Amino acid sequence: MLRYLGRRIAGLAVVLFVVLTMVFFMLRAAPGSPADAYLGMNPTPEKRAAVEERFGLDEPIWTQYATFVGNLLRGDLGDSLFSDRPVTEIIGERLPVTLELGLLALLFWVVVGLAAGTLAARRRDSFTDGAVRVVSVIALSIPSFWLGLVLVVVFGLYIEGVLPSSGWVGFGADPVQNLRSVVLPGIALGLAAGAVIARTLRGSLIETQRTDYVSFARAMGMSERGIMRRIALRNAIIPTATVIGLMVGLFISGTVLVENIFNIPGIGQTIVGAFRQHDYPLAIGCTLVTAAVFLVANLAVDFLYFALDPRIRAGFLNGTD
Amino acid sequence: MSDANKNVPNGPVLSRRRFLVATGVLTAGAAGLAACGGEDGSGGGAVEKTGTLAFGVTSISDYLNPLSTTSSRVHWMTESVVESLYTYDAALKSVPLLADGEPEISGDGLTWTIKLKRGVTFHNGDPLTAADVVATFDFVTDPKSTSDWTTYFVGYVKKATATDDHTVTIKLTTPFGVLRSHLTNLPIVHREFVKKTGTTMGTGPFSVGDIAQGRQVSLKRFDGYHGTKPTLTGITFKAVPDPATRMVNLREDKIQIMTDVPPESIKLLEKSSDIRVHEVAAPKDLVTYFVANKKPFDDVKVRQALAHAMDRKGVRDLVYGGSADIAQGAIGPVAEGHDPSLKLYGETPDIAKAKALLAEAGLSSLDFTLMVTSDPVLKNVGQVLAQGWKKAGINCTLETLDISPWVKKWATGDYQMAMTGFDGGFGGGKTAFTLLGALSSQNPLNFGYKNPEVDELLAKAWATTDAAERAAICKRINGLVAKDAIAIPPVYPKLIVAQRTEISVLDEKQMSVSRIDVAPVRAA
Amino acid sequence: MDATTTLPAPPRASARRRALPRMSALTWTGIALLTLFLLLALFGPVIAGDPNARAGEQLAGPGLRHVFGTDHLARDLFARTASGARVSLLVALAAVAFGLLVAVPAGLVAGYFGGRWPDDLIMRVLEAFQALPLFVFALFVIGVTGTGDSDIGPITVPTTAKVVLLLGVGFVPYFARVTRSATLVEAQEDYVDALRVLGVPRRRIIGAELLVNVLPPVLVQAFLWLGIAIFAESALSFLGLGIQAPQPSLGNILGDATRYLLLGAWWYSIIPGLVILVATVGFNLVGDGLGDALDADGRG
Repeated sequence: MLRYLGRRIAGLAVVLFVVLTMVFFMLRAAPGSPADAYLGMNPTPEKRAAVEERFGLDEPIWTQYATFVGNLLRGDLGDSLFSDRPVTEIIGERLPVTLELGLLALLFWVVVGLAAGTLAARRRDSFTDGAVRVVSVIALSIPSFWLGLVLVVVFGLYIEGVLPSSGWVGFGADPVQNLRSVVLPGIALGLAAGAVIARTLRGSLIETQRTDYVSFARAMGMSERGIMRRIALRNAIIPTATVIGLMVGLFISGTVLVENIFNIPGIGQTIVGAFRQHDYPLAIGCTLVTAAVFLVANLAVDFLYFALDPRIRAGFLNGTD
Repeated sequence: MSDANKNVPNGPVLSRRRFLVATGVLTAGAAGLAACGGEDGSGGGAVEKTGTLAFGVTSISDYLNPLSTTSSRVHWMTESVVESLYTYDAALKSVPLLADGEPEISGDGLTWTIKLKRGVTFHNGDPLTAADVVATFDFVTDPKSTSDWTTYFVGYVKKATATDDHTVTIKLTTPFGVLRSHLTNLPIVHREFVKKTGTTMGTGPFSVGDIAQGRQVSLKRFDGYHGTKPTLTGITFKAVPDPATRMVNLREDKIQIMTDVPPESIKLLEKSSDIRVHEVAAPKDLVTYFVANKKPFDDVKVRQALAHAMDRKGVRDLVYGGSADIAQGAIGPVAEGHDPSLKLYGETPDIAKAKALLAEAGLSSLDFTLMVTSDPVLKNVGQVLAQGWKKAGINCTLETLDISPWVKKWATGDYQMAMTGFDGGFGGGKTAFTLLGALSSQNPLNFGYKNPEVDELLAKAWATTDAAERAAICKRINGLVAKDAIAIPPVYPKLIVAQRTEISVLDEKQMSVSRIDVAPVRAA
Repeated sequence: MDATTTLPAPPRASARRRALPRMSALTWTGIALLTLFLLLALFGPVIAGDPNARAGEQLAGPGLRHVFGTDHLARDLFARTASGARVSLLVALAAVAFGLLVAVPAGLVAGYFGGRWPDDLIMRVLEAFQALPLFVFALFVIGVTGTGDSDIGPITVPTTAKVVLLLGVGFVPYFARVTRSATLVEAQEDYVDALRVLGVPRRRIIGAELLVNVLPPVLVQAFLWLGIAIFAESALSFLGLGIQAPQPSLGNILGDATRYLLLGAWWYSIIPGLVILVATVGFNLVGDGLGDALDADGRG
């Protein structure tokens, strides 16, 4: 178990390093250097030289890379080219916002998805089941950016004052306003994920209900509710957990869109600006953080299987994995 | 105020529920969420209650130093923080502000002596001295400094020195009368803040308060201000990138002033009695560039054909919703040298003329690429123009680029025709200095256009101290470059700013030089 | 150990004979929606003509002259939507095809060597790609190549090709995981052992025997991903990173339209949004149906 954990964490570090290297070199291959963005409409050769010296762009690329990796190992992601502030400080400000929005939305939609999926599976082929299936197919097909815009318009123009249609209030500043400002972006961000979770759970529940031990339990006179809770749900949760892990990726992409529509100062908004301005340190910092969040979330899901599924655990202990 | 906000007791909650039912998620969890909704707590009228004003802009620049850039985005935030030696009065005449009277100019025109007003203090209590003015000048005359302001001074201003604490002497390399205008625009910054990027300090009625990087900048009233003290206690600039969201915020009274109003939404905003929209002719130019030393645009006839087949009316009506003026020549209606009598090109494409000119140039058809910056308005302009040219058999491919790659290609002449938007009011003021500057054959960004008459006139225009004479010369240059079809903006867009009517009316005169003068604003 | 990893895909085995009639009702709906979308994409542009031509009033609502209304530059929205649907469909097909082309071989190899080093290597590399969310990856590639046309061989619409590549590469990890899971199961079957014992070369086992058996579930997944591809393309173009003006795509039409939503031009946002919805719902339902059919067929 510990060996496996170590192996996975080492793998994660390798993947992060590959990502970092990829981002570093691809950005430098891009047409338009940060000097262009920095100088705007006034790019004389003298100024360009001055800016490139200031940004360290005049050094050979391998030196730049070595410096960057060296600093990274000391936990220093460099300074943003445009604001002279440490990238870690900017990320420290923005990441909690994205994480709060993402986690609250994820939590909410996981609960909704699980509830809807269980309900549909238990009343299979009923009206409820049909409704869940139809609604979930539509829900997962609605473009989040479109939904977001519709929500801004609806709550901004027609139903004024119920929920803030944009903006962000920090939790520290006003917890109630903070939670209110999560609601609409959370809906736009997670609706599709909720639908996918409901569909996946419903499918796996129906599948597990056909397994021998469920038939056995049923034959032994166990109540349907008991079967659902004790056996079916426990087994069906595994593919669902996988899907939830993958949803984290969807959420990260989603935040890029949703944060821009709802004007939320998170990583998604920052990353778009950083890439556009070719703010190398900030862009790389944000990318690494998003990648790390995604990888850690998936690692967590893998460990969740381990906790949930006795078969996998047995496999490990027997060394057959 | 904001009675409009109060008529939402039960209805919305019901609609919200219905919405949740429609999306199929009305479960225990959703009910929990609905509970968080609750009633609205935010009454508007911030100006009345707290004396602060919120200003919604598309983005908050990471710079807050007005010396680093001439961009309106930065200067709207700093215009009440920093002041210049001279300023525009109510009739847009340049009058002394930090300077004590007009500059004293030597007979050869190469030495300017300016006395400073006494008793002016910076926000930290330091008195304004000649050393501060010199520090500002040292920064903007250094060719290596990354400031936009160098365009206006490098090559002309040799050095500024402090003769005494309250006298500055500026030595020039050549007579440079337009400097008088530049001094109306160049902010004077505390000497220790000249090179800082993230903040600034000046002598204005407001000082920089809290900054939330990229999101919000707060200004607070400076009680030691030397002029008329504002009634507002603070101003907050909020970044709201999406225009629809910005409009909603204005209607919700979360912001009281909104810049970058999309032209198409003017009518909608005007429907609300709480909102007033200002459409002001201002230096907000569409600038066009040709690489004039390469085919096909090395031939003036080809450029003229393009100018004749340009759908100016289409751009004005479709892209700007009528809120723009048809352009003839580079200089717009508020800048020195604008020529309202110039009528070289039609409002709609003159296909016969364009085809004839192309034939004269020996071309049966024309294919070229127009490079625009990736801004929704410019994209629309590009598409309308391309459709118009198509009628004349001219095939225009649109290339949309982010500003950074756009600048790279533009600065190296790696394009055929290029177009972008340029807000010149905070740099050039009323002059056409930046619009015409690049047309000089000496300018490094000039790609092949050389007209000796234009070169000579430009030298004269920047030398004279007489604004009327400069305007007359610029008018002649404008005519020449319009005829040569080297600068052919389709329209002169307007500055569009919306405000809530709970605050006093913004000064449109100041807007015509890009300023949104917030300091005098009161609750109406 | 992440062998069970599959996609936001609905689990297959949900269909049994008892549920068949109900199932096919949904499938039929899917087929109907998909047909509608295909008709629009295939024949719409032929009927409607030039999507960039100015055709009357600006922002005119749907009516007899303009079935879908007009857009902010007075262009016929039916012509633009139809042409955009065609572009979106082509992009989706090409992106999924590209994804399969790369992912299936990778997944087969990984699955065959399940747990050993080739599997580990392939999966870690794919994870690196997956570690970059699609939009971050897109910002990236567009940053490298620019939003304009690039020289990618003799392709007629280079920007489109770029988006295809972008999405295709983004899909690889997902397709590869599905292929790998299917291969892992299949590779345990007795016939594979038998072939191995018989001395059939490894390349042949993977390239022929396993491929044939693994392909059906993978193709069903791919079908479901066509819907996701249309969605992803529209999201990219909506952000301004995908298909560039004046070429219409469902996403960039929607991106433009959002500026006019507040002005009451509901049709401008609603219609292209609905077309995306019809396409994605259609692909999802038909994909489900195919999956069920496959299950009923293979194991029922």
